[in-house]
Amino acid sequence: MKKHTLLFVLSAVLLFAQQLYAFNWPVDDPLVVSTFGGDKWGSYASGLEVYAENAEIRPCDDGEVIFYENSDRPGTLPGRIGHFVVVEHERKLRTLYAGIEPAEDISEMTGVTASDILGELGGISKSARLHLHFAVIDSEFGQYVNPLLLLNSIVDNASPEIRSIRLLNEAGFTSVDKNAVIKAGKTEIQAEIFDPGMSDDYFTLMAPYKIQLFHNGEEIFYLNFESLRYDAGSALIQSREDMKYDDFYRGDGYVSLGEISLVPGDSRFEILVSDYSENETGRTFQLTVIE
Amino acid sequence: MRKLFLILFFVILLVYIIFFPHQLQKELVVNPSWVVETTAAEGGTDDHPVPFNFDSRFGYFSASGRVLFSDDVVYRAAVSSELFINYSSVSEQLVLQNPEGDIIGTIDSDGYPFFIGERLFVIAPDRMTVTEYDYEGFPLLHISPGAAVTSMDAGSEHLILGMLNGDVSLYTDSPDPVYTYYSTDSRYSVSYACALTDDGSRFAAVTGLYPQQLVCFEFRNDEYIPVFRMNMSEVYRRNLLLDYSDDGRLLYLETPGGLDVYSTATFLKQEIETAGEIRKAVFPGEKTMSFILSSLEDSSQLRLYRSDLGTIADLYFPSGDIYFYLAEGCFYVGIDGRILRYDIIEG
Repeated sequence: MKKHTLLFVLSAVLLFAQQLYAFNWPVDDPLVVSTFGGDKWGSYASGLEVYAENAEIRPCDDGEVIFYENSDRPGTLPGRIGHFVVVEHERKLRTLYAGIEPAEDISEMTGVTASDILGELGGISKSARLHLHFAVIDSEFGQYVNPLLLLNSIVDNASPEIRSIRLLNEAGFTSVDKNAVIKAGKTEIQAEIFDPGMSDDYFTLMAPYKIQLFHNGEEIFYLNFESLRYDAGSALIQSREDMKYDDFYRGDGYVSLGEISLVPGDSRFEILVSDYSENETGRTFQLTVIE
Repeated sequence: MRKLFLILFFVILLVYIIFFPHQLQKELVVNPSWVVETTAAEGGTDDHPVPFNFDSRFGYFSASGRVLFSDDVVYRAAVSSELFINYSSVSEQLVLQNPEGDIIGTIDSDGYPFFIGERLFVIAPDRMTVTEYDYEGFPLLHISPGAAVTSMDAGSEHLILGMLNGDVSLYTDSPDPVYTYYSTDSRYSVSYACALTDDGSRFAAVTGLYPQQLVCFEFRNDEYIPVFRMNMSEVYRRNLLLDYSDDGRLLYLETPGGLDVYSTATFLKQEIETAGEIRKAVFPGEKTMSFILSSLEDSSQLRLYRSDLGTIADLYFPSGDIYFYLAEGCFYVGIDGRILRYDIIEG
């Protein structure tokens, strides 16, 4: 109960904060190619990846440059990772700009305004196509926050997609079709869900913002990608229930929407998926559950 | 009586001189020994191949100056004396190869491999995880410290991570830290540098902004305790050079004009002035020669120091892609694909 109250308060604070405290996008005409909470090589993506034609990177708001990395001097982490800059703003919110070449005068930048140029896309990012990795950290609570909650909204008319659904029980996988029949017992519902991106010119598989699963009208699964924290070495998406990466992503493009004990009879399921721009996709399927 | 006293005095003096002679400092001489072009690999093997790693070329040579293996760097190369990983900018699998070029293992990762000493680590592109692997590519230790890693060091059995949230955590063989220092004294909590002695008995970190502090810890009576704390006079917002000498007796810290070298026993400081930007500092220990390689405007300078940190000599090289490697009784300097060996002779 306490946790739900805390999450509600956090959500309310974040939504309220967005009204008062909307960040500017760090690049002009941003094209988001990876979203918060997505599948990043065995872990949740802790920020956005943004492609832009104009390479100039600006801070999202006024703040203080608290860390930058712009060369391979001794003391810099080995491996020559893409250079980055971190700015701390009001309310202990930090924004991280990675995969950039910091401005030549970055060492003289202390206080910055939203009109200053932190650097340009590039640096020595490992990516073949230059993009900005952008993350928002709430250093007060030690959380990574979905940047889309704080950034000015951008146009996104593409709805998320539910490509396929499958069920997993003792007998193995069952694909869901019109006349699916399955034995009673513990069953995991898995779905291939993605947000196709914000541009017709650039297709990418991104994480949506919210996923809900209803069984016979009752909500049995809820996940939204609002914030992320690390606990005992695991990244946890903070939703109504904290969710570990391995419990959600199944490694083959499917995500787990939880387990249910099916009893004989008809079962009706509905999956609702929405992105941050509230584009929504729903899919309903019926099962015949036998002894 | 007086004569006897004088004889006794000289006998004692003679015995003292014979058994407790005054140690005169030996003169150190540096002699160039050979030079090789790294592009001309002869092949073959060696019991103790020496790795080299320029921006665009890496490989191995023998102490006698024979280039054993040489290849172009694809994107970056992580090279140790026993294996290398030459990876591309979009690789999703890291291939481990021995100094002869034979494949000995693979690692499925899009992270960045690097060595600290002979330990192999891969850090995730978002810096949220660090994984140590053995030389066949099997994971040994996977750490998700909960914040982006900004600095790192490792000893034989210990590992230290400095994080963007200011925490500095010490690990051994478990993903749970054995000790964490939380920097809370500054307006902004960030870790800018951390260093660890080889045996893990001491560690140091530079953390925070306003004030920025150097903090040092020692393992005493089964716990790490703070032994030194200092507000930095110059504030950095980037990684800075902080390291222990190989024997753990000295701690050196980057300053605007060079390095401050602290005795870890007394924390008395000695300032070393350097010209240009420091590229590499090598402090084997209190009793041996030390080296600082710096980039000047149009050249590179290698300054050699005595054990008391007095300057022995300056060697100048053309500016460019430079490499330095200290071995037993000699050191190697590489410039733009050419490697020179210098023998250190005690006179």
